[in-house]
Amino acid sequence: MALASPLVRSTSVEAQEFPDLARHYQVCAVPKIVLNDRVEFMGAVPEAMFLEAVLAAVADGTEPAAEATP
Amino acid sequence: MAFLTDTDASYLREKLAELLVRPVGLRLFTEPVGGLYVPGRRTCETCADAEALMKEVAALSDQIHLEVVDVSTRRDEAEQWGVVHVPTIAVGPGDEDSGVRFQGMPDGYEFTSFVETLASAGTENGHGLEPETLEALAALPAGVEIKTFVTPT
Repeated sequence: MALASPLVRSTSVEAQEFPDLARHYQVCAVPKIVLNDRVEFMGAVPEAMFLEAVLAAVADGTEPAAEATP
Repeated sequence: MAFLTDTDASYLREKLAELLVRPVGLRLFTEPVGGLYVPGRRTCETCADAEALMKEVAALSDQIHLEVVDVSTRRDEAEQWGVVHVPTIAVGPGDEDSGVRFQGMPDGYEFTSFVETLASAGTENGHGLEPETLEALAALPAGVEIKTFVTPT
């Protein structure tokens, strides 16, 4: 989706290498997907369901907050 | 130590020659390993491996262009690309920032996703999405930041 839209950014995070992030997002199994820090789900889902989650993540039209530099 | 076996490398070389129809940029954000130990500061344990793996991948096809960015000396570039953690690999068509990032060493099962992403970036309409999805994405009212937590196993 990131390749298809300039508004979508996608980061794959190696959870074991970034335990602080994994803890912050309460990752207890993988893959865990978090959209705009407000919608989350586990595992692979069909494209239509993924799109639903993307739309839910922008439902109030606000941008995600930028990640703070540690 | 090579990460890819000769068999894997020749298989990938053949596949990528077939799949990549345009240049793909890999921008690895990293920091030098070793040097001064600073208590409390986390050193990058996988930066050297990530760089070695990216060099092996870049050697698989003339269409792959690797740029290694040392964030300790090129902080502005890391900021411009929104990179906070190392190692981070940005993958995109040409030198474009497509918004696709791999944070951490993409090995194990994650290497497959990495190569698939690379192949998608090197193909016209390589995203493989349905027309309805593309229509909805074109009408997005705001940006979407997707984080996918993975492990190599």
